[in-house]
Amino acid sequence: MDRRVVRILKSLGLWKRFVVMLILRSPFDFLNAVLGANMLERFLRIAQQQDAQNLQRNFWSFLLFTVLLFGYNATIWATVSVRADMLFHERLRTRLFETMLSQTQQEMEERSAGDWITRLNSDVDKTANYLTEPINFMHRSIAIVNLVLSSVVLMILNAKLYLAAILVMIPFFFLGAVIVIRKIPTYRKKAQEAFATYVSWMEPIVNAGEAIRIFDGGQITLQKVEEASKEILRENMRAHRLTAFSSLVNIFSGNLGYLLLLLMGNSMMGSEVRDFAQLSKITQYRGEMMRSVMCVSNCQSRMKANLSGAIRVEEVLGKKSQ
Amino acid sequence: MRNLRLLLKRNRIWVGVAVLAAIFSNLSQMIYTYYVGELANRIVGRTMIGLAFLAVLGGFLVSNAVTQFLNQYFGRFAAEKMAHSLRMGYATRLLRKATNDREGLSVSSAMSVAQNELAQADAYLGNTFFDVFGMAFTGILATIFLLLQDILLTLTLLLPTVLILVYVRFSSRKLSGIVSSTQTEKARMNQVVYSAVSAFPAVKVFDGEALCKGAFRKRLLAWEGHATKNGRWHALYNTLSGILSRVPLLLLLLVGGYMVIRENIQIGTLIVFLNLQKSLTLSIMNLPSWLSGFQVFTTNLSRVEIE
Amino acid sequence: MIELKNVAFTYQEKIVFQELSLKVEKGQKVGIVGESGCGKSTLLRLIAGLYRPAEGGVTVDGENDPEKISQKVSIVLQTPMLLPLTIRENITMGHAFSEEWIRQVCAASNLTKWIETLPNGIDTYLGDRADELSGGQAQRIAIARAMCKNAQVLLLDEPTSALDGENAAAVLEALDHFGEDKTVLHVTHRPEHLVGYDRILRMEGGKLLEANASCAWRAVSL
Repeated sequence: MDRRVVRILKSLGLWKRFVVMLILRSPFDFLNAVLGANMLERFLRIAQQQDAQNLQRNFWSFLLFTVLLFGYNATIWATVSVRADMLFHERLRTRLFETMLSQTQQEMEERSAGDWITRLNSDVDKTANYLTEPINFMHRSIAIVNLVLSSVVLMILNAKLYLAAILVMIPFFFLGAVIVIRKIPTYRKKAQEAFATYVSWMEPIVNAGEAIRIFDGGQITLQKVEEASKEILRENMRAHRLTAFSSLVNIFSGNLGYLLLLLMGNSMMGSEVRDFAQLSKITQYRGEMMRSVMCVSNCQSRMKANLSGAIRVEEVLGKKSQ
Repeated sequence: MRNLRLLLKRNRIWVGVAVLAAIFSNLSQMIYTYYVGELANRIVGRTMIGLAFLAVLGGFLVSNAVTQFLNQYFGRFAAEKMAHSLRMGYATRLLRKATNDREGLSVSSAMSVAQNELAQADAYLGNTFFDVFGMAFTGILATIFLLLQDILLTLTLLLPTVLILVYVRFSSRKLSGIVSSTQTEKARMNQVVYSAVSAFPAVKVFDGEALCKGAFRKRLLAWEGHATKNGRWHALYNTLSGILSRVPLLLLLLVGGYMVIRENIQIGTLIVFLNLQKSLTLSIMNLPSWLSGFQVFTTNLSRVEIE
Repeated sequence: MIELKNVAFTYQEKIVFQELSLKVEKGQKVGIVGESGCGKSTLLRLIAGLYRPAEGGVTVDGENDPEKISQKVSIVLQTPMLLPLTIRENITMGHAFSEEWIRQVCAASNLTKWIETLPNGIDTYLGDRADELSGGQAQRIAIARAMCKNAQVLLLDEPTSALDGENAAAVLEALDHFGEDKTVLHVTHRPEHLVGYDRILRMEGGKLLEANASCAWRAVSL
C-alpha cells in the first residue's frame, strides 16, 4: 500500500482495523479457487471411475461449501468491511471539513473554491475507492494472496508442470501487460485532447454561422472539424490496436499453457500425475494464477488514478498538522 | 434508433467486416475447444496423440488468437468509424442550422449536447458497443454450437442461467433504488461543503464554524445511514449472485457426470461444455446491464441531431 | 441593384418590418441610421440573405434566392466572427486567392504592421492567440475578409465600433476606397461616418425615411 494512504489511515486511527479487514477478506479468492479446483477434480474422477452413487452427494456437499464460503464473505463484507469503510469516510470527511474551517481567509485563497470542493468531496471518494472499491487495493491484495497460494499448491501438486506454466506465463505477461498496455493511457489522453478540440469548434460554428454563410466557409470549417474528429479516431485506434494485441498475447499464452500442461501431464499420467481429474485440477490452479496476474495488472492503473486523490487529501491534512 | 440505423448504414462495409470477424473468431474458438475436448478424450482413453493431431490443434490455437485479434480490431474500428460519423453528423447539422434559420440555436445548448449526450454516446460506441455485440454473438453462436454437441447438457446449462438472469434483473432494480437514494444524500452532504467554501468569508466574520460543523455532521450521518444500507445490500445480493452463478457449473458436472457414466457422451464433450460454460453464462447474466446501458446510449443518441 | 418589395419580417414572434420597400441602384452608397434595436442590423441580414422575409421579396442583382444572394454580397458585422483558424484562413475562408491580393487587402485593412510582428506572420493560428487578440485586430481581420471576397455589394454593420479613433478613420478610408465601384449599405449610429454617401436613410418604427424628408434631424446629426 502507498505510504501516503498508510499515513492517512494511521492519522484517522483506522490502520489496525483496516489490517484486520484485509486479513479476513484476502483469502476469499484462493478459497474459492480451491473449492472450484477440487470440485472439478472430484466430479471428473467420479465420472471416470463410473461411481454414479457419489455424484449427487458431491453435488450437495460442494453446494454447501459454496454457500458457506460465500456466506463467510458476505458476513465479513457486510459487517467488518462496510463498517470500516463508513468509519473511514466519517473521520476523513469530518477532519477535512474542520481543517478547511480552521483556515484563515488568506490561507483559503491559496486555492480556488473549486479546488477546495474537489479535495473535500471527490478526492475523499478517490481515497476510499483506492482502499475498498473493486479493481483497487483490496482486490489486488486478494489477487496477490490467490496468486501466491495457487502457485504454492501447484508447485506441491507437480513442480514440473508448475515450472512449465510459469515459463509460458511470464514472457507473455511481460509482453502483454507490461510493454503493450502501458502505452494505452498516453493514446487515451491524446484522444481526450482531440475531443476537446472537436468540442471547442461548436462555439465558433454557432457564433460565426453568418460569416461562414456569407464567405462560403462551410467547407474549411467542416474540414477542420473533421481533422479533429479523425485525430480522435486515430488515437483511439492506437489504443484499441494495443488492447487487441494484448488480447492476442493473452489468449495465445493462456491456451498454449493449458495445452502444454495437458500434453506434459499426459506423458506423466500414472506416475507424477494421478489421473485426468488431477490434471484438470492442476490446470485450474494455473488458470487462477493467470487470472490473478491480470487482476493485479488491472488494479495498478485504477489505483494510480485514485492515488492522486489520496495525495491531495494528505496535503490538506498535512496543512493542519503544520 | 433512427440515428443508430443511420450510423450503421453509413459504415455498413466496416460493420459487415466486423460482424464477419466476430463470426470467424467465435467459430475458431469453438473448433479449438472441440479439439481440446478431443485431446481430453485421447488422454482419458490413453490413445496415441499423433503429430497430425497436434499440428491441427496448434493451427487452431494460433487461428483462435489471430481471429480474436482481428475481431477486436475490426469491431473497434467499425465502432470508432460510427463514432466519427456521429461527430461529423452533429457538426454538419449544427453548421447547417448556424448558417440557415438559426432557430432555437444557442452556444450553450450546442456545447451542452457536445459535452454530454454526444460525448457519452461517443464513449459508448468506442468502448462498449463492440463488446456488447461481441458477447451477444458469442452467446448465440456458443448456444448453437453446444446444442449441436448435446441438447440435454445445453439445457442443463441454460435453464438455471435464465433463472439467474431473472434474479440479476430483480436485484439490480432493487439496488439501483438504494444507490439512487445514497447518491441523493451524498449530493446534499456535498452541497454543505460547497456552501461553506463559497461563503467562507461570511462564516469567518460571523463566527459560523459551529453552525457549519453541525450542518455537515447532520448530512454526513444521514448519508452514512444510506451508504451502510447500500453496502450491506450489495454484499447480500452479490453473494447470492455468486452462489447462484456456481449452480449451472455444479449442475453441468452432475448431469454431465451421469451422462459420461452412462456413456451418453465422452468426457471430452463435458470438457467442451466446461470450457464454454463461463462465456455463455456471463453473456446471459450480463444481459440486463447491457440492455440498460444500451437504452441510455440510444436515449443519448436520439438527443443528438445529426445529418 | 438591391430591391426590397413590401417586405414583412417577424423575429421571435415580434414584428420587425411590415411592407418595407427599398431600391438601391448599382454603385450607390447608402447610409442607414437609427436608434439601437430599431431593426437596422436585421435589414442588412435580410439583404444578405441570412434571413428570409415572411412576406414580400428581396432581390440583389436580379437574384431572389437567399442562398444565392449570400454568394453575391460581402459583409462586416459588429462582431468579427472569427474562427479558430490561421489569419490567412480567416481572410480567405479556405478559398484560393493570389498572394498579391491577400497582401493588398491586409494593407488596406491596416493589418500588415501587426502581422509582421507575429512569428508565423499571416499563418499564425488565431486559436492560440485568442486572448492576445484585441477587438480592433479581430475587426480588421473581418474587414480584410470582406475585402478579399470582393463582392459587388458591400454591407457594413457598425464596422468600426470596436476600433479607436485613429484606426477607425484609417479603416473607413480603406473601406471607402475599396467600395468606390461597389454598392454599399452602411448601418451606423454615427452619421459622421457617412459623409459623401449618395443617400442617407433613417429607420424608425419599422419604416425607412429618406433623410431629406426630415431636415431637422439631418441638421442636428450632420
